[in-house]
Amino acid sequence: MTFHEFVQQCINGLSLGSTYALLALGLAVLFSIMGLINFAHGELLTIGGYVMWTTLHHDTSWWLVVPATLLATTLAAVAMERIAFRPLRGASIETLLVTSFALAFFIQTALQIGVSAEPEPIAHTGWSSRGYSVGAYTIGLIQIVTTAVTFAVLVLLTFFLKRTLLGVSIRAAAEDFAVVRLMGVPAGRVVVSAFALSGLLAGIASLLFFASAGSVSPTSGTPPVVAAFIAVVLGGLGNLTGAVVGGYVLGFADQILAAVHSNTILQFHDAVVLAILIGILLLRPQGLVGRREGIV
Amino acid sequence: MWWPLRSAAGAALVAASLALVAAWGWLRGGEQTKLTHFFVNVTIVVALQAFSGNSGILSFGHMALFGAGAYVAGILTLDPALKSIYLTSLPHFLQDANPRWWIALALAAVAGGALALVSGIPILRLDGASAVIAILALLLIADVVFGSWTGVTRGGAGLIGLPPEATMGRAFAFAVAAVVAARIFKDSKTGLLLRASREDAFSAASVGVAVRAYRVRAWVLSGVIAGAGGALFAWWIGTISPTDFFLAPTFALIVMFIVGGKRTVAGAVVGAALVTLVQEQVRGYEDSSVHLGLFTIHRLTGLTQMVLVVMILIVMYLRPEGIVGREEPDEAVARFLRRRPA
Amino acid sequence: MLLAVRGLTARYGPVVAVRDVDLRVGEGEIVALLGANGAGKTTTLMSIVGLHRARSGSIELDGREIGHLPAEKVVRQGVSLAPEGRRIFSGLTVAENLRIGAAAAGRDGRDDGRRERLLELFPVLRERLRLPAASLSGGEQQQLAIARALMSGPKLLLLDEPTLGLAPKLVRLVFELIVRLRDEEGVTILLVEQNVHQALACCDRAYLMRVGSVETEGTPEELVRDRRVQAAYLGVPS
Repeated sequence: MTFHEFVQQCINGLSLGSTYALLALGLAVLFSIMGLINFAHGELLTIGGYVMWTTLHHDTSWWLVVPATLLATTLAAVAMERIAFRPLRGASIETLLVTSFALAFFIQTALQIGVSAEPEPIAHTGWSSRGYSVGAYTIGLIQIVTTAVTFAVLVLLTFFLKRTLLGVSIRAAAEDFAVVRLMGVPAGRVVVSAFALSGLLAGIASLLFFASAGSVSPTSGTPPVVAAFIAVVLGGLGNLTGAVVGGYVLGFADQILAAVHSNTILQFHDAVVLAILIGILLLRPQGLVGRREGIV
Repeated sequence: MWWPLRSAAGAALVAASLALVAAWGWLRGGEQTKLTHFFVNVTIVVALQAFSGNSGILSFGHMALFGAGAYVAGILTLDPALKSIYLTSLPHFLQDANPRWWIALALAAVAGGALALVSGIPILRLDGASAVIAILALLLIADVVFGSWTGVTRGGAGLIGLPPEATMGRAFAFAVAAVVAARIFKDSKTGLLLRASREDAFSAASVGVAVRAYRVRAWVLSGVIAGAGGALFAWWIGTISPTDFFLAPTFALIVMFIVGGKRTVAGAVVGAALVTLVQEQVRGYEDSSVHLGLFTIHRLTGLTQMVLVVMILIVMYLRPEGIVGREEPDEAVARFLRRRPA
Repeated sequence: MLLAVRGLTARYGPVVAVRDVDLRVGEGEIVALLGANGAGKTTTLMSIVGLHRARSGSIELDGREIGHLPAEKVVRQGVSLAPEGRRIFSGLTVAENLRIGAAAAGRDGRDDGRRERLLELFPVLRERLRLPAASLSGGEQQQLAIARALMSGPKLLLLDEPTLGLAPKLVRLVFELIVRLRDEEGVTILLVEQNVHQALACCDRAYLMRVGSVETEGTPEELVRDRRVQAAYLGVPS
């Protein structure tokens, strides 16, 4: 691989990693507070995709598509909490895990029956396929937008988590939920906020993902979110900074390995990336950013 | 009584009910394909129970082990004439191979066990949610390999025309063998310590390294059973492709495991029975259309899956321990008898 | 009576951890709850604040029943717990820990008079406001845990083993603080302690718990003369 290729793949990795980071953050927020691995997170992404499909289908302006998508995924996440997870408060982590897995299949099947099992095209809006040449490098506009939006989201999220009482409560709840309640912060409010936040992040990821994916099907949320699972574990389960780091490491690793691999290995690309990441976990089971903690 | 014998006797109740089902199938005729499906489902869910039921780590990766067995058996027993056309990268000795079914099945079981050993040693060093996700990653890796190794697996197009070696009798025999093996393992020292470790994190930590080794043992046993089950599945269905071993079948497997009751082998069998019933009875309606007054749904694609979702959610909300609960039926009977005054 | 607990029974599954306990804490008192490990002291406190739900009996604060309230509402009634093992939020800064402590009072807790007053009482925290709580020493963490519990301005402060694992010098500091909190801030205190000598030296009354029940109660003078207490806790052979 030449230096030029390396830089080009880093540019690609930056934008891919941004999408992973947004999804991984949404997963990590819920995991840190409730111990929930939310399989249905991918379906939030899918729901966002279907909202974009419906709205763009009717030539709606992007100024409406964006809020409509964000609103839909946020509400869907809150509805998930209300309908599926609230009745299970106090249940075991495994019960939550299985429920989220079932919920994912419920939404997929409902979309299959209600809309169609076939992919629906998302109208390509001229801007998402536009590209620029900077020196010897090509940068897609969607890559710039993805990276810029993600950075902006990270800055705003940091502000929210550090400066507002709700944000500080969410971080505290991630450490010790019982004591947060002891301090008078209502448990319900923290949990709902965490779901809303994860839905909002999924919505943003959805906009960026489907603007370049070009089509949405009932299962299109699964692959990116499964990648985000790996990113979350890689960064250190339940660690928000770790989720972002894990997302970017995954994005870079994916793109750089794609350039290194010869054609024969390329068809097993995803498998190789996953195997390497499992290898990293063996060296650092607590994740790249996580602290090693004793029992309790 | 020597404990493995006692455990095997404990499994007799479950084995006897399987035998009743098989006998009914022989007498009735006509239902044998569906019953073979049931016995294959029993084998794979019992494989899952042997690992997850004892270790407490819910595995989303068993379809990788199951698929490895299915592909090994499928590749071995595919007509050599078809192999030379479809599977061009296959080494010559495999292209010419056409072993007897039981040799192929044994090799499939070995393949399942070997994949489990190779994957389990690294993955099972992780704990809790990390382990769950790493096992899921194994499923993804397997899916990529099944789908992309086109010269060996024929990729997404799948292996077609596998010989119908999975008769009901064979499937029944392996289901019973799996049930007995899983039960003996559950009552063994390894099984007991594993179950103790899931109940109490402290004791798990105090014997830390040992618990990992026990997990790997359970995982390998599980892989062997799943590999054999995969072989039977391949021959039963006749055509296998990567989607047969990915998320949707993983979901059906988890439903079998959870609905019946994850702690018991008997629960796994009950779950397999319910899920097979749904799969066999509901599938017929998937192509029908429904008129809902204002609009019409033309195809109920995924109806089976929807019924499974409803089933598992009902269990999650009302009886998270599953239908059978915590005790094997023979244990419950023994306790009941003991309680009565002599 | 500020706090009146009557007939409290609490269980973990089938195991009864606390049986038929009666406790009373008067306004402005320091009351100690003594007893060996596993006597049910922590479970009693957890039941009072609503974190332990499997219980029966009545818990009244100022004559109003609070036993049915969830933890986040109990603290709003004016009962605050500094839990065993401190359980500060170690990834948050000292200031953020204090800020969460004020949530029950509905205040923002960043720069208000209450925090100012507490920082005068715990000057070491003022120097470390911006640091992560994890970087504090054991004694500092304990002071943070107490200060955090006081941010909501509680009428009743519950302290669970505040001196556990601290050096003797710091143990003395914590007991001095407890007395100052009562004298200068007018906070009523229910204290669970293993340091029986020092606890008896600073409290007004004490309860002695044994295997889930209250064995005896009284003023420190009465308890010191009690043979059972002498034998079990004060190293006097019976």
